[in-house]
Amino acid sequence: MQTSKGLMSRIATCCFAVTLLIAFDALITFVRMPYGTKSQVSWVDYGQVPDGELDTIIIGTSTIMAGLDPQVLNNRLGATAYNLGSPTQWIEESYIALKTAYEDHHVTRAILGITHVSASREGVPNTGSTFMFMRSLQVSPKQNFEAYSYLLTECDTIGKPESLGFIAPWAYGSVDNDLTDLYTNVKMKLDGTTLYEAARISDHRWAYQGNGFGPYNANVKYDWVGPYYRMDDIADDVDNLGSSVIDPSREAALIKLCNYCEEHDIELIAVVVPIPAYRIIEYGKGYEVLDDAMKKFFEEHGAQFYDFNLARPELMDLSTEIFGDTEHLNTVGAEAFSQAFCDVVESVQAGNDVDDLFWTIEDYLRSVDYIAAVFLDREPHEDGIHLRARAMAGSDVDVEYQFMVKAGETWVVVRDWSRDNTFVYYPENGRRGEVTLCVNARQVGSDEEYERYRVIQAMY
Amino acid sequence: MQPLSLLFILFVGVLLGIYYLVGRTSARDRQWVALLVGSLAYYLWCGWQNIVFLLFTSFSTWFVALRLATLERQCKEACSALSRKERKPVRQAFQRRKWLELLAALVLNFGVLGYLKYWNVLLDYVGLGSSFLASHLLLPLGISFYTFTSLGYLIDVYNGKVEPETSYPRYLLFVSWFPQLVQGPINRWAEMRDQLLPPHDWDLERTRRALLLVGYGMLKKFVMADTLASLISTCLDKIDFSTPGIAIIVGIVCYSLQQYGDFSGGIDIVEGVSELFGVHMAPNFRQPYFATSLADFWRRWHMSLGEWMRTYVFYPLAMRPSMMNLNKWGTQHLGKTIGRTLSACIANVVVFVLVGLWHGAEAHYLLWGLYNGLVIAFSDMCRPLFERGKASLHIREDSAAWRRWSIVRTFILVNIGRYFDRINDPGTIALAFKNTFTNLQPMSLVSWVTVVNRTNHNKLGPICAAIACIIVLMVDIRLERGEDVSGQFLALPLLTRVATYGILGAIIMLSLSIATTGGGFLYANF
Repeated sequence: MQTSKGLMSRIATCCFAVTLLIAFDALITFVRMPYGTKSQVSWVDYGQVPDGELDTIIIGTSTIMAGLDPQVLNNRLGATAYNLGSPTQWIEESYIALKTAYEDHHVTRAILGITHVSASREGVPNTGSTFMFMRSLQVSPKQNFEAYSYLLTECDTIGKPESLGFIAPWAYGSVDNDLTDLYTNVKMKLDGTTLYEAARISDHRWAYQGNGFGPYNANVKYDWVGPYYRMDDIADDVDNLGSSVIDPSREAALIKLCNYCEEHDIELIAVVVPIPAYRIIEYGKGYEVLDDAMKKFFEEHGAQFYDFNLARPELMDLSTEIFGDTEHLNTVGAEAFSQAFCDVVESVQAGNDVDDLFWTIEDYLRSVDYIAAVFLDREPHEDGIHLRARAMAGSDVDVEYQFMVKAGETWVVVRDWSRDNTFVYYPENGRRGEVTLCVNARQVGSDEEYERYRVIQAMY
Repeated sequence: MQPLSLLFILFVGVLLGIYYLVGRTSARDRQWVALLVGSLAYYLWCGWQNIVFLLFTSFSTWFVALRLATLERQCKEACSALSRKERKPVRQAFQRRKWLELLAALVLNFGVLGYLKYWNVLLDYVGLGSSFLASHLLLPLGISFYTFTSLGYLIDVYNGKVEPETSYPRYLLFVSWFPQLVQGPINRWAEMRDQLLPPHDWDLERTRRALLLVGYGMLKKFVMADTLASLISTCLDKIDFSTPGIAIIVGIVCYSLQQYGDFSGGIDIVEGVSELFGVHMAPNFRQPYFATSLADFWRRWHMSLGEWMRTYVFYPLAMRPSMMNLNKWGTQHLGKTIGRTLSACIANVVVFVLVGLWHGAEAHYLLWGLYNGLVIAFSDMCRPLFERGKASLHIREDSAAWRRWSIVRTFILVNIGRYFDRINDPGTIALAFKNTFTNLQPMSLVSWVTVVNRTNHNKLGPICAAIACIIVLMVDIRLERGEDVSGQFLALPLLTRVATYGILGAIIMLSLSIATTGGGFLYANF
């Protein structure tokens, strides 16, 4: 009796402790889990669509979340479409979204927004991502079980810390740790702020328009964008090893997605949504290599693939004004892209060859007749700060550079216009410390003060 | 399979269940078989190629150990009917055969390890890194650790310190015991045999302490170590002319903390997991940053490797007749002090060079080894001078002030060594030292980090790391005093403990999302 009483007491203590820990986890989830995320808005609205109503599902990263308007598809193609794209969506998550949409609606068309980053991305998806968490609140337990089982087993997540993400989703998708943000987050959840209002408060640039779609209501500032991923390394890998540059795990997920479409008679269209030209130029040879790899992959797996970065002007005007930031189209750009996408689909449905609507990469680079951005690299040495400007411009654009340094509140020219993109700046009297430098770039023959500039801080 | 993963938790849970269930049946004496099957399954999960090398090393060393025992027995039998004079040549002949068989096993196993670790590096040096000669084999998980473990056993058998194990499965369990495979410790057969093989019953107190140790290890590894990676990278990955010395110092100190958190945290996790099964492994860290000399530091850091090197490299080398003769020569020509310590100093330098190379066949590891070996050798040689200096200044070695000074001095010496460890090429190491001493710029750290913020790390990482460092410091102070910290914590009220688990668990999960290291262990690829 004594022993069983002691055992019962221990079990009760254990249960009490576990309950407290679960309650603590729930409390942190409530405080940190952001209210009004794009995934939350998207899944909540999806949950309100009656079963069987959709025939087209849009999946993929935030480029397509902000780029492809379902309403345009509905109007032009007679579809009933919904956009389940989300920020940094893994291809594995796209597969899960597609499967969910098919089980709920028997969709007959899937549009996958893929980027060069999402295709070459290494690692494993996290079971605690905001996308998965918000989805879990809208679907059935069976669908949840299948989705998490897929992530854990087939996606190799189970042996990695990402497998425990579902215990603490607040660790991965959370408000900033600023006390004000935490307070605002809790306040919005308690004071009746609607989900859509919360979404506007947390990202004032995102202009949600319904059906999961929302472009960015802004214009990218080209003089302040940062250098992004360099894909020359990928091109080197291909030269050295002769391997495909689609990450093997992502490729496996893509194969599964393509096979699912084939088995369920779903038309799959993979698209690369336009991004600013400077990104394409900066990627270098790696962009073409990965583009070719993706085109080849989708054709082999019975899907269509269109890279709208290479869209000719008659299909879509890729002006510099259509981007909200370095990744996403703005309202004007989204409208143009959605229309262009429908043009392609209609043309294909009519039996036309659409290849003529797209550039090759060489022709595209020649078509960029402006300086998209300029970057400034610096390397301090004993003889001064070695500067190297890199203009992201079309292949036929002739660029000249001017270097300046900030003295107090004024800018002083230290090297006047020249085609030479390098300069060594030696601080006055070899003074150590922080220095503010600027490079201006313009086309040779231009009399503009500059077309693009870049300001950096450097240490000497 | 990483320790903080669903699979590892399930694996350990299931294995624990099977292990203790078997312990309640008539097969209780075979309870260790469950551990063997579990260990092999763990290894197979990490890749079938890994198990090939594991079986090769374990079988070759087990087999040769039995051969050595057979030769010893044959020698005794042969000598039993002989006169004293006749025995000597017979013994010598058998000893020679034993030595040759031991040597063969050492060459074979170290050869495999050397090939896998260094072959491609050597080819790169001679410009043949991309040629057909390059190996495409990945370094098997834990190969350094189980190679050292197995060869330590073999040498102990050779020296007659232990009897060889006749059962290969029992021996295989010793070599393949899964918690030790990731990053040690390097266990000894004499101790582990009595831990692994006897049956164990589940014990609540032991389980509570083990789980606490695992949690503490995760705090060190994921919060203290991994969250610092980004800041360390910012400070040390691209040292150039403008890098202020203060940034390098901060980077190096953070690297010291990262190393301690990663390595000792990992050891705490594996020792805690091992304790869940009732298998106690030798401790591998003893509050190293409380060391009062560099030699003391290395007796507290990675203790099992230090012990291995002392037993199988340092003493055999230092006690060789040629080294003894060197001591005599040194005494005659260089004085008594130097003469007496010469062999030990040389052996120390050799040991540290080997340890350096064990980390990697790169110049900076060699420099690291030389630095540590030479500093210890120098301090040994100059000991009488230091003693005279302390006496003349009336310094009491047992005073708290002297102890604190010794700790700080040792910390500085260790961190100087970290320059060679963390920075990858000799030119940059020289630049780092130069900037440290001639371009400190102490007030420029914040602005420099802002300017060169390459990895865009957020502030939460260092904050989490700082919290963890404070906790670890408080615990280590108590451990250094010999207190039973686990016992003290487990005696706290339930609510206090649950609150602590909750808060620390939350910080650990948060750290996983902040860290850029992917959760792996720095020493896992050794």
